Amino acid sequence: MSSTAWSNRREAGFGSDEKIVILTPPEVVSFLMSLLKIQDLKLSYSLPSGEEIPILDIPDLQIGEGEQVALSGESGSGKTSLLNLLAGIQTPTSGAIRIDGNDIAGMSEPERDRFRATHLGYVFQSFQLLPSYSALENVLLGMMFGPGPDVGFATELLTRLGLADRLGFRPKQLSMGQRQRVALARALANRPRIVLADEPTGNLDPGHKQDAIKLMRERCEEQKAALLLVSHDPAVIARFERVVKMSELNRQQTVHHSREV
Amino acid sequence: MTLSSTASGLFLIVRRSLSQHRLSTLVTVLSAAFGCCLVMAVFSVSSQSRLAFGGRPTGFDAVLGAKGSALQLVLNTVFHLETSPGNISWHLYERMESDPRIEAAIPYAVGDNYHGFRVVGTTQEVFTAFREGGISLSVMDGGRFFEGERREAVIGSTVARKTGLRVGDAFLPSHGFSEHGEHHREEVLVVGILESTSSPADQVLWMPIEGVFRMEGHVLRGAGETFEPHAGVEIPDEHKEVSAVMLRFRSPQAGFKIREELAREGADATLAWPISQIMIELFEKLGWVHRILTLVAYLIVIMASGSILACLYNTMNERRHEFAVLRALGARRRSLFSAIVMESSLIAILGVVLAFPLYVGLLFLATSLIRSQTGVVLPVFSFHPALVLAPLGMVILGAVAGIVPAFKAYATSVVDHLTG
Repeated sequence: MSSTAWSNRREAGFGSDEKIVILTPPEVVSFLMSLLKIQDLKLSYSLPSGEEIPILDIPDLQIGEGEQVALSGESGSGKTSLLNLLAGIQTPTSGAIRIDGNDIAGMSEPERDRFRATHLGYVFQSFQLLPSYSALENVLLGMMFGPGPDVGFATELLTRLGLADRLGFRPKQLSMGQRQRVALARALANRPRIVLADEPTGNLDPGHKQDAIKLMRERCEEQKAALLLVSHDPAVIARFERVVKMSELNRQQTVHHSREV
Repeated sequence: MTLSSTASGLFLIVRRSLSQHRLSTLVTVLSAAFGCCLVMAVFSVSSQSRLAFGGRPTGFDAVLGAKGSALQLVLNTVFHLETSPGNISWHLYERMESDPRIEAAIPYAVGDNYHGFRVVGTTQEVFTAFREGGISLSVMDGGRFFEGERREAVIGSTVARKTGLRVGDAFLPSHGFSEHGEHHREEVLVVGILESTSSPADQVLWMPIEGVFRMEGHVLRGAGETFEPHAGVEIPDEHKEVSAVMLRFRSPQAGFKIREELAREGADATLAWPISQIMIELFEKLGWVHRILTLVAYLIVIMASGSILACLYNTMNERRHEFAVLRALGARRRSLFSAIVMESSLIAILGVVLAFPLYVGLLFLATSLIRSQTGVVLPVFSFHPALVLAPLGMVILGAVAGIVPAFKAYATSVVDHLTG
C-alpha cells in the first residue's frame, strides 16, 4: 500500500485549537466507501517515431465519499493528465479508474461524456467560461448536457456564491473572482459526486485565494461532493487535511516539460 | 431528461452563434431567400404562363388568315400583338360562316389603334362567341354592344382605365398599330365598356366591321383592285376583306377536314389550328429562356448553400474553444455535430421564410409586366409544386451545407483546446 492512504486523516474542530486526528488504515477506507479508486494506472504517449514516453504510473489512489484531497506537484508532473483521465477526457494506456462503481477506463466515448455530465464537476485553471453566454447561461449549458436545465437551482447556486446581481453578465464583465465562482457553480450544477479542480486559484489575487478555496470546500461539502484539487501553491494546499504529492503518487518520475497533448 | 434538454442546449448554442455572427447570418439568410424565391418564381411563372397562353384563351379553336406564319396569326388575333400578316377575302369568311361543321366564325379587321390599343372591326357575334374561362363578353352597366354599321365602339376595361374613355365619349382612331400613326378624321362613339376578362381582350376597342371598312382612308383590295367605299353606298362583297376569321369547330374532326380542304384547293390562306398547340410550340421555342432562368436559379441556390458552408466553416476555428468546453461539460461529439447541422438548417429555414414575401413581390412585378405587355393576367397565388419543393430543397441543401463544418466540430479535441 502506498503511504498516501496512510496520510488520510480526518480533522474535527471543536471550536478550539485542539484537533482530534483519526488515522484510518487504507483497507478500511477502501472497504468503507471509496468513491474513486485507481489501480495500476499507466499513461504514455507514443511519438511518431514509435517511441513511448511514459507520463503516469500510479499503482493506487483512493478517495472516499465526500473526501477533500489536495494533489500537489510541479508543472509537468502529470497532474493535468491525471485529471483528464479522471474526467474521461483522455483514456489511460492501461489500468482501471472506478468512480462511484463505474469503470470509466472501460467506457466508450459517448458513455464517458454522459458520465462526465452526470457524475463530475470540473473547475479549470482559466475557468473556461464561454464568453458569449451570461453567467447563468454558462451554468445552464453544463446542465443541458447532463440532467437537464434547472434555472431555479442554477440561480440558487449563483446566488449562494454572491452572484445574484450578476446572473446576466457575460464573463468579461465579471472580475476574476466572480468568474471563478461562476466556474464553481457550473461544476456543482449537475450535483456531481466529485469535483475536480485544476489550479482553480491560479488566476486569483493572493488575497482572494483563501476565500475562494474556502467557498469551494464548503459548497462541495454541502452537496456531498468529493473534491480533488490540484495545486502547486503551498498556501492553498496547507488547508487540506489530506494532501497527496504527485511525486509520491506517480512512479513515473521523469518530468516532461514537453507537450501536454 | 436528456433528449429534450440536450436539444434545448443545442438550440441555445445555435441561437447564440447566429446572433454572434449577425452579418454572415444576414448575408446567408438573404442568399438562401433569393435562391429559393427565384426557383419558385421561375417554375410557377412559366407553368402559369403555359396555362394562361397555351390553353384555349378566347374560346376559339382556330384562326384563318393570310398565308404565312400560323404563330403570327395567333399572336395577332388572340394576343393582339405583332402586325397582321395580311388579309383574306370576304368570301372565305362567308364560306366558314355557312359551314355546318363550324359553330362560330367571327371576322376580324385590324389596322387601327387608339393610344396604342387595337381597334378590331368585327361582328356583334363576337360578344357571344368569345369565351374567357367559359364566360362570354359582357358590358358594364350603362353601356351596350355596338350596332350594325355605325361608328360605335365597345372598349375593353384596360383601355377604359388607361385612356379614360367613358360611355358617351368619342375618340379618333389612328392608322396602323402604333399610336404615332396618322389620325383618322371621323370620331367613333364609345357605347359600352366590357367587364374585365383578365385577357388580351381587355386591351381592345371593338367596332362593327363595316365601320372599319368605311373608315376614311381605308381601301379594300378584296377583288384585287383597290376599292374605296363611299358613304351611303353598299360595299360589294367581292371588295370586302378581313384580317382573319376566328373559328370554333363543332368537333376536332372538322379542323382536320377543313385544313385538308383548304390545302387541296390551294386556298390563299393559313389555318392556324389548334391555337393551343401553336402556343405550346411557341413555349417550346422559348424553352431556352426557361432553361437559362432555371439554371440561374439553381446556381443561386447552390451558391447560397455554399455560402452557408463557407460562413459556418469560417467560424469553426474561433468556436473550437467553445466546443472543447462543451465537450468537457459532457456534450457528446454528435451533439456538437447536430448543433452545426441545426445551425445551417436554421439559416436555410429563415431564408425560406423570407423567400415567400420576396416571391409574392417578384411575382407581382412579373405578372404586372406580363399584363401590361399582353393583357394576360397570371394567377399569382395559384399553387405550384415548386412552392413546396423549392423550400424543402433549400432546407435540405442548408442541412447538407452544415455537414462539413459539423465534422470539424465533431473532431474537436478537448485536451488540445483546454490546457492552461
